[in-house]
Amino acid sequence: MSARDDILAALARLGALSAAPNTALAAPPVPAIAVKSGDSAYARFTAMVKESLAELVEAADAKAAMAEIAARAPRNTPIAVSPHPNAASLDWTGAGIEARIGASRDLPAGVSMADAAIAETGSLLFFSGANSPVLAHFLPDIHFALVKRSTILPGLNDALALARARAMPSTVNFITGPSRSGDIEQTLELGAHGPRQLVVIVLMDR
Amino acid sequence: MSAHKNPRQFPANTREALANAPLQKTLERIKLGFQLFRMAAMQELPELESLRTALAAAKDRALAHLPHYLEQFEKNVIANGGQVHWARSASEAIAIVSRIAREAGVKRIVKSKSMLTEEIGLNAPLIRDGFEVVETDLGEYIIQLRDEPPSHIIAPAFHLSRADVTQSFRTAHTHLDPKRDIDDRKSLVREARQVLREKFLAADLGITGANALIAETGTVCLVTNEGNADLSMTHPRVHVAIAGIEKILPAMDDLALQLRLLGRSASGQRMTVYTSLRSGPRKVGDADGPEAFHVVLVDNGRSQLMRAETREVLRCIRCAACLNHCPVYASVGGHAYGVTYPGPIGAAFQPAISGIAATHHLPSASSFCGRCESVCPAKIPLTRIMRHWREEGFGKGVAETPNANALKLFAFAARHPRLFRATMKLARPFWHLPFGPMAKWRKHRNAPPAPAVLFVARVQQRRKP
Amino acid sequence: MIVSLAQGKRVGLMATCMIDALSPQTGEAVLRLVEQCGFTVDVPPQQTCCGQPNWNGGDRKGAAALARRTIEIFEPFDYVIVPSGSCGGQLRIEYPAIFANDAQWAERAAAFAHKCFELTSFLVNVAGAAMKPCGSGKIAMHDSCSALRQMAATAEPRKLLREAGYEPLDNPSAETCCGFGGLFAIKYGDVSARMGRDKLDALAATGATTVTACDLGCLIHLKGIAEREGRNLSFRHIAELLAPPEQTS
Repeated sequence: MSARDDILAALARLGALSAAPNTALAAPPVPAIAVKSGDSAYARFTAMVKESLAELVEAADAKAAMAEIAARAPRNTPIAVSPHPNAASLDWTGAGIEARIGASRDLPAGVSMADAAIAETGSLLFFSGANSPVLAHFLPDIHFALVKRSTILPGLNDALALARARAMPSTVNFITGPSRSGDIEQTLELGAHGPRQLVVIVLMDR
Repeated sequence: MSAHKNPRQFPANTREALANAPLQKTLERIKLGFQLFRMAAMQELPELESLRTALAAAKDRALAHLPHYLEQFEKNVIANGGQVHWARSASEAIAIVSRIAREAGVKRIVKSKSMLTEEIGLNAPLIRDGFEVVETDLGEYIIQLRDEPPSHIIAPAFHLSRADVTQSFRTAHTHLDPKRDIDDRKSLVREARQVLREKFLAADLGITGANALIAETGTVCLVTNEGNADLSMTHPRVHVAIAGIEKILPAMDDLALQLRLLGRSASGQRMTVYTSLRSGPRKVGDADGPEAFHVVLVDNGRSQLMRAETREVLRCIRCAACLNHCPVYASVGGHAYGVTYPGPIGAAFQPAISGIAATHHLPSASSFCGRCESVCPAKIPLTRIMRHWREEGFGKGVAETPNANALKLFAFAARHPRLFRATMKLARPFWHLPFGPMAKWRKHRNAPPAPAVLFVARVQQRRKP
Repeated sequence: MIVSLAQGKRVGLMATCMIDALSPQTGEAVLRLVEQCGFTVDVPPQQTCCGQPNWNGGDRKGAAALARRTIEIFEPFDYVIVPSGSCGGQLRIEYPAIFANDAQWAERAAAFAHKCFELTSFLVNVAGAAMKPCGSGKIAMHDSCSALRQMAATAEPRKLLREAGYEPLDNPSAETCCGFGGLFAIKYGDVSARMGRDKLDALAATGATTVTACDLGCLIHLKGIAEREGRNLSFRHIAELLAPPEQTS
């Protein structure tokens, strides 16, 4: 008997069933904080982003967004820009930024494009794909994350449903604030091991 | 003094821990930290009770149909391009991981935090098999340098001070300037980031645990605050996720529910910084991601816990709320227990892994205050399960025989009122002896006066017609 | 003063083996208190112990035997008063659990459980009794874990204490166990004592010098440590604070 057979048989002997349940359980309750909409959702999103120790900046358009990035990124060094179409195709040179397309282990600042965001938690949602390397969100010291206001979802359930609807990319990342650890004397320090700084730039397309 | 203690010597371990002043100082952070953080986080969830009830129901449903969901999960992982392996025991799991590494030509392994890998003792055999294994969770990295076991389920280095970490880094990072200043947390974290970043980028294999396995999509969910799981599982060309069979959740809506309770119960966070879903190796055309993805499903005593008396313990989502609210844990810390899982969840779970003979102190060393179950997000009836283990121990005679015999005698006497009262009166001459239960009582406190006039008998006397 | 819920009903007192052996004055106070509220209380002489030490110690057989015995003795009553959250919990919560899979006793244990009340819970929720003023001053209220979690009896003792003229004081460590835990206090005495000391610190910080609780076990444990350390605290079971003084006839 294979390990698989043994384990399944052991479970069956103690009453676990190999058939699917006949009836569905009632859907789990969704708390009030997860079902906001409109301005109320946006207010929640911005408050949660700030609570997560990320900086939130609003930009009327791509040009304004690049200006915010230029103002914060370290000078005299290129910025890694994710190959995502909404990021890579922008006029970085016009904004005074030397952009290197692709994730980089050497450059201190990186820009990537979030696929959606979650008001409930202040999280950004990133799907892996041809034009969106996962490492773009983890390697930089300062991570600039662009997100369109119109993609802010009310809650976790909505975000997970979206991921499922995309037939589950090989990686889905929920990112809520910059990287941190409390492992030394239970006190938070940022920047172990992902970005030390997260700047969320909301493109106000709505 | 070895940090690896023996659970059979729990009483002696507690005395050592209570006398350890630096440890006692760090344990103060439980009340001032974890307990307050959780309470603050629950303020914005007036729905807390209904969420807990729903999570318990979702987990029970998953367990009741576990073979079905395991098969569904496996089918979906394979459809996504991943591989699934099954391990009955710790040694089988270790052999599987070692084989995967060997067949993939791996030399360097990075690991994110996984209590299951602690439970099965994965690192030492892999190192013996010739692989470099580096823990990347900061707390786990620190204790790996010190060759200590974790003392807490989510905060492995909880028992250490900043000075301990400085000393460990100086000793281990010999390639760095010995005159550098790392006497503060910021510099230590910066140094760890620098050292471990190189490891992430040089590794061939990343091993992670899993907080949940989602059956409907064949997805592994990982949560960290550091991002080390993501760095471990994205850059190396192979990703192995190893998880207990009980981590199954049927669907994404169940995951949303679990995530809402997990971070808040653990450390008072709405979400951990990084919550990541891995559903297969890189797809054709993906910009990055591992070429190969393996899930190792581990039993190691879990299937036996499916019996009615203990099944609910498999609902555990490893948040550590029970530890954080346990007055026994708060007094002695995690190492005193001498096992992988300390505190109330350990008392309920560890006997299934290590046997009740070795671990009988764990379920016994509880006053049954019930605080653990009042904060458990999955409403696990922890004290009921601990009582079940006490029954197992009693039946197998593993607890100290004098206590078991005393209980049997007590029950016998209590079935015969006159004998019972006579025994209580007879206790008088034994009340002040330097051995026996009253002496044990008196070690720490004064005793009440020995029984003299018994209340029920006096009333009976008084009311005689 | 009795409300009709319990008027004319047969009330039995389960003294608890600890009160029986170690604090008969508490038992007498319970009697005086309940009688003052207009009840005639029987104290069945065959009672011994509810069996909690055996149940908690893993001795299912012994616990079940003592449970059956206790049910048989007290079943004839309409209400069973228990001056202890933990023994009350054993009767109300654990007896049905002991016999959950016992065709013969499951229903009987469940029916019995419904009649059993911790003392303050009975006085407030069943008898609707109001206390006569009989005391004054600050009292540090210690909620035993069983009163807090099993019997949900935290409002009742405070209500009665206030009516009787006392000022019950809360402490921020109310949810943390005092460390008694029955046999735990003997088997794991070092941890138990440490928990007791922490609890005494919290109780003393209220400024009160008298501590009360619904459970004698907690009080004996805390008193034992307080005396050993020379703390200026006294410990009284809640019945002793609420009961009218003994008649000296």
